[in-house]
Amino acid sequence: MNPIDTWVDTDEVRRLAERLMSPDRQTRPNIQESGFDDSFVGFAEAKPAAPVVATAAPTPPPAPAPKAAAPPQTHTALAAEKSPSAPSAFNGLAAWLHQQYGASAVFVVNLDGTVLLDEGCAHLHFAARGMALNWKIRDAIKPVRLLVHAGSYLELIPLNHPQGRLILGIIVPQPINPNTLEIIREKSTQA
Amino acid sequence: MVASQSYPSAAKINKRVISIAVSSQKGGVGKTTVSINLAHAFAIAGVKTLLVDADPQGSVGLSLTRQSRLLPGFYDYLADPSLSLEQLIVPTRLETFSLMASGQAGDYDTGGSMGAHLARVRTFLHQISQRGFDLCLIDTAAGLFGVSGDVIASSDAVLIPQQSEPLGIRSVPKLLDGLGKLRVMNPRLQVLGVLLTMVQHDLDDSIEAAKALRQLLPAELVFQNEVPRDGTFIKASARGLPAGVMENGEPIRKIFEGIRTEIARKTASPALNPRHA
Repeated sequence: MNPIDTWVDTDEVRRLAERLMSPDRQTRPNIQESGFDDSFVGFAEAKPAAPVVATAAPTPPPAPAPKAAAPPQTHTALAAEKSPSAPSAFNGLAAWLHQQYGASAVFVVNLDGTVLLDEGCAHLHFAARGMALNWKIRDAIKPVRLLVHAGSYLELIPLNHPQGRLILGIIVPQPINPNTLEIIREKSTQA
Repeated sequence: MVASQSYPSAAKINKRVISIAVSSQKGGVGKTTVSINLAHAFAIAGVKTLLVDADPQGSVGLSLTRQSRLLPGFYDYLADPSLSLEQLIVPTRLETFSLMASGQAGDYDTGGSMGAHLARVRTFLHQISQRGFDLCLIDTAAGLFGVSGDVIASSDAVLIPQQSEPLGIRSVPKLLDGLGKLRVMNPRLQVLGVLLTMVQHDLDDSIEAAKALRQLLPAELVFQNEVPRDGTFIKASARGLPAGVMENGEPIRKIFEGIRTEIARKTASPALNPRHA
């Protein structure tokens, strides 16, 4: 008897495997990343990044939200990002997410990697930027959930917004269910 | 195995350096054994290789160096920005093979805190590329979260050892799902594939599990070579050596040479196949 097939969904496994074999690596060289400066130590291969520890932040990092789950250390490479314009058009959305879903921090990034709103979670923008990069390659992408701490989830939600395609990042104490996701998406388009 | 000469500083920037994380969802699948012997296979092929122990258990160090518990290493680098790589890289008798121990830092965070060390890990890999290495092979702790997640989210490729037994292989869906999420953060990550380990040809369940995995996954995602369960690995560990250099290690050396060749082909990297570059 096959010791695997009776225990796993073989179709699901093959779908997951195919996704890992998708040709992102091959298509990537045609993708122009922007919104990243020289100190970003992520995906750029053309030139070496400046040492993180020696880089001074050209602009002050955005003020952290009172309940933001920022790590104790500040990575200057990430702190060197441009500060979002204030007040952001998304402040109202953030306040609503705090109130309705106990979000401890919210950020919004566009497909160019530009931060439109940030509440002290610059260390997590890389995930939204990675997602944005994927969205440039594909027609559509799905939300992604990451466990960032015990009882702290980062929900990355792709949005078709009047300002264009955006990635909404929310740190919430519990995973967001599909119904809530739709409500948030609808509310977000009004921001 | 560790030599006593100082590590020569190299200012040459090697943009071809490839970083490969050796990772798995489950523990005890042979990550450290694979890492040590694979690093040795690359090194004897002429590839300048740095083997990094990113497992707080320090298994690579404990396997190859008696002083490993005293050496600063990878986790010290994460904790202390003032440390330079020269203080951490340990040469071996083989000129092309260097090690980095896991280190002494006591507040390791291998739990769920994802992204906390990402910038530092990426700086580490950039700095490695400036030291003339061709390959940085990173033996991570079990799981796809915490520092291990940050390493995978920063590496060029990931290799997944998987014990050839039914229970381990049933965890493959979770592994694939986890890698898919990490690939969102690192779209360039190449999944080199699952490497079957501890294969027991005298045990039907082990053979059946290996066969089932090969039927389940696309051929490209499973290494053709397999690592057998072999007492030579234990004897080699006791002497602080890669199994391939042991008296009866020739069959194992050939297997890891085969795995090295598969990786060189999959990555299409001239740096990993210098004799044919």
